[in-house]
Amino acid sequence: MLKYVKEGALDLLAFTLPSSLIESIRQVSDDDFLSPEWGHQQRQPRMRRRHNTTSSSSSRAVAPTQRHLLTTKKSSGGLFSSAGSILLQDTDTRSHNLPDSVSINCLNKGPQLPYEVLTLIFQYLPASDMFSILAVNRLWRQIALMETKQIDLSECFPMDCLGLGYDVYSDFDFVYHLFSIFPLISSLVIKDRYMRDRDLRVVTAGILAGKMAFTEAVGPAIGSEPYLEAQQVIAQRRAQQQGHTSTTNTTITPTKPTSTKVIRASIKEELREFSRSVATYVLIPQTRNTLRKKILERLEYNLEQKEIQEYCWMVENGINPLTFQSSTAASLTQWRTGPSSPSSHASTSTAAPILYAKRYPLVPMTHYRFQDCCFAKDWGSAMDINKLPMIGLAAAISGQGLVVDLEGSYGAPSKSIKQMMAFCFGAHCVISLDLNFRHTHMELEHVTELLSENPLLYKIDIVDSPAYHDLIRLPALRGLGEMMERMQKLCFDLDEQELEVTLQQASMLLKALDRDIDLEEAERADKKAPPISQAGLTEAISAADAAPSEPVPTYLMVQRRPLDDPRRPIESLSQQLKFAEDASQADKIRTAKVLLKGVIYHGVSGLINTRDRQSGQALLHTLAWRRSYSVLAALATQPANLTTSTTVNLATPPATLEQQSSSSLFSSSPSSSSLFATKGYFWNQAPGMFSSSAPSSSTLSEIAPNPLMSNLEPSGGAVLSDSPTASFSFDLSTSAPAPIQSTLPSSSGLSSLINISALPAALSSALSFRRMSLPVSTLWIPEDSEDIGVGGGTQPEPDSDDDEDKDDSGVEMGRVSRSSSPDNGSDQESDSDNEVATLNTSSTPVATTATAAVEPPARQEWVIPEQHPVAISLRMARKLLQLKANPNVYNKDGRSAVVCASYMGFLPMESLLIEQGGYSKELIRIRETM
Amino acid sequence: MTVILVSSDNQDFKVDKEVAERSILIKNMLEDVGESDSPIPLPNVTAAVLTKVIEYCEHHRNDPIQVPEETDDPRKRSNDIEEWDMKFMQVDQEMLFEIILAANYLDIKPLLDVGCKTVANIIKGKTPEEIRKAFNIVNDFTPEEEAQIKKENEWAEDR
Repeated sequence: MLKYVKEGALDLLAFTLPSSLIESIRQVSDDDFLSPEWGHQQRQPRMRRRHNTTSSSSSRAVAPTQRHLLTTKKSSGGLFSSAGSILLQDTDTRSHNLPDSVSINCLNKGPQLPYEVLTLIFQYLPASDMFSILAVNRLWRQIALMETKQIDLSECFPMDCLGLGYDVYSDFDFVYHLFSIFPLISSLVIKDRYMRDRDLRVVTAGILAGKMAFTEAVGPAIGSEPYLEAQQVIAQRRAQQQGHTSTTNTTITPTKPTSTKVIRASIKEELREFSRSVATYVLIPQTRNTLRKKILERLEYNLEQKEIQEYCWMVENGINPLTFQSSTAASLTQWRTGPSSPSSHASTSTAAPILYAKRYPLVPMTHYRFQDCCFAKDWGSAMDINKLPMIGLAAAISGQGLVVDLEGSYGAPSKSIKQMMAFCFGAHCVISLDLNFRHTHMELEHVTELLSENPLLYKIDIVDSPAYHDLIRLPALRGLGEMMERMQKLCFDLDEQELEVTLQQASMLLKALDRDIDLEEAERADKKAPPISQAGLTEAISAADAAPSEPVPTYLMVQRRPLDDPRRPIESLSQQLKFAEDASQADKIRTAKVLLKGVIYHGVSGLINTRDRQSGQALLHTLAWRRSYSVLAALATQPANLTTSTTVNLATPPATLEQQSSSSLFSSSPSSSSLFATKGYFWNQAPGMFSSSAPSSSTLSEIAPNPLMSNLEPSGGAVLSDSPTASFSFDLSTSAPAPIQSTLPSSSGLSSLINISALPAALSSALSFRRMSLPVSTLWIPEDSEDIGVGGGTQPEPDSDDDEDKDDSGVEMGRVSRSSSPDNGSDQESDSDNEVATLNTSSTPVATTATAAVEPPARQEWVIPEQHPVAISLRMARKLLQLKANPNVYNKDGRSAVVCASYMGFLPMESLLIEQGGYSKELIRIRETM
Repeated sequence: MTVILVSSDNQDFKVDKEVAERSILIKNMLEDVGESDSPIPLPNVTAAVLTKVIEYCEHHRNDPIQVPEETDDPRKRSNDIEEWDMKFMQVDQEMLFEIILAANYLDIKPLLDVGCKTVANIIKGKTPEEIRKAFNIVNDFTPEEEAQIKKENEWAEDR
């Protein structure tokens, strides 16, 4: 046996350390010792296998370190150990170097399986074994090459689906070679729980190998010049990949891309039909039920909401084929031969302009949604980086457009996104980009860079991103950013009327902006107006002096910069954005237009959906927070109540409450002591959490005083709608020492609104907005929950008590609350929306006894005074939600509105949204996830 | 009703018609010939192999006749062999191939499938050299072809 030991194995003796020796022995497989030197030592493809040769149930992947052990497993034993028979071979083949045993066996003739049977046997082999078949002998190779028409990828590389490390290339190469070597593959079997990642590789490799086309019908005509050129590029790439190695004589180079069928029995026929009809690949993995369900739901939703149709329409009607002038083949060549790394965005984009590019006819594109493919905890791995380059490359080669939807790419590192974008844009094929990522901070400068360097990218969504904030603050946006800030402040101040006015102003501003953009475009088309860049700065300044076409609030006019030109917003913005030095004027103009159109497209709704970077709160959340905060403020007075004995008659007319304005409630006058702070209500609040706009604990301390303990003054505000004259007596006798009442500020109407016995409910309500009191790093904004159920994001799993939020969200205002007790009040959120206008009849506070004197309070219904801060905040929120519920606005705003409505406790609002926006399905889904 | 099958080595096997008709070949013959007591010669099947084939058909006599798959899914799995079939196929390779050939000749598709799956399972996970060893196949590639194949599959080798 020693004669078969390879030289490398003999080198084992050179090792001195036992560990090294053992490791070396482990590295040298049994096969190395036993394999005859005469044979072709064909190694197993470096693929992992799901199943070993005997156990079909084994789904455990083989670790790379174990791989060689598996592939060199001796086959002499086991079930089929009686190897006395042979598969008859030509005995006249060379046997000059056959070992004796093999030579003897070869002479031992037995039954020979016919060609057809071998063909049938090969059909049962997974793809990873086909490469081995090719290298067995001529007959097997011929059968494999000529008869393999379908490949089963299901048992290949199951481990490491995310493609970490170098295995990414291994998997990709595997599929690529599969397509390249087997000429007649016409169908793929893909059924694997990890398929969603591999799908992309398969498709990409298929396209690169010229075996898969997104469509035959609308692609370049076979034989046409673009087609031949694309084929040439494909051939070049193949040659490059294979090192100019030609395949054996039986390998047939494909001459045309065939529509390879990706088979998934689980896909609904209509969806498959849809995907065929629009030539969009809908890659739905047969994967975990939950994931698959979500993806299908998402797809159905997209269909329902005409989101996909929109893109299809773009393809069919919306884009002039001449704009698709970046010959993808040429751009690819250029990209590949560029001097810099392809991962550098700058390097790809600063390559020589494609002046001589062929103009391909427009072909269908891939709509690539991260939410569909990159799911939850998977994010952060290498898959995100690996997918887009490949799919972008494939789109480039095939001349397809690419829609990149990064919405839902929570937590994506900015660097990764930039790299991915570089790949995609290196292909010059991205035509729409959704950058609405909330946890990834892409600066306006980068967005501008992306837009200006990619002429096909004409649609972008950056709402809710830092870039959006920066954009709307530019003078060309005519003070939209300031309006946003103003609205934010108005929400904090609960200035209802002014908010209404500002919303109208914003709406007018956007309309005017839209109209001026159209005018400017028309002017530009007529070439009547020279661009600002040519006219110089003075013209821009003089234009800024001109009156805007629509009245703009005065407070905005004074904030304009000299470059702001109300009449020519595109050029104005192009002057205000930062571009690369080599950006052309046309690119600047186009970039500005795309950005402006994006802002207008989302309109006021976009503003409402936008959060302030400092506070991290949207307007709606501000109001929700404000309402909750008001309750908290009232709650802060309660501990003091426990220290005194008093009787309160709640029959006091509500007018007495109206003296409390919202601004005074949260006035910013300094306060020396904070009841909130001292009583631990902000135990989790991180410094600066609401630094810019939210009232601090010190300012809130001003509203802490409890009217119930301040001179027994009449405290109304909460009246019984059905028995307005009813009176209650509260026996608040406690043994606790009385505080120094003289140090307490004057009472607040809000405080007086709170019935003592309802305080546990109020407490639970306040705490229900617990996220508000979390540190900034853990702040989780309810609005984000909209994506949990629809396939994206790495949001933390909703807390177990979020189920209680569900109950909470549906509670109508004014309803009599359920019972609660302080013992469970901290976590009990089901009563959270009843805190103010509720009367709790059965709760028993620890040190307080509440007694209904007149009639059972369960029948009482409380009415919040119209001017009470809580009522105001609810009305303002309702107004905003109505705006967001506009069915004409972008869908997600509506979804977001549903979430907000739920968190605000607006059951009627949900109905309103459903009526107006038809978000029923989404609503159900969202509520399921809340 | 029974029919008599005659193996290539002239052994007679009396089997139920229902069992014999698991073979599409025999079924067609019986349909063509009609009611007859004449033995059916099977010149391509030895007695040993025919015994195994009849054993298989007896066991599966109540199985529904397999119709050609019209499904869109061409998946062919080799890991779905029934336990009895798996034990049935625990024979030496020569017998295994003989059974496959007999199934092919007699047109017993389920048996042919099981045989092919069994062979496929032997092949699975093996290197070309191991496959050659397992089936005693001679490597008939020329050195030049070998070199070319090796280069062709270089990408797949461990780095």
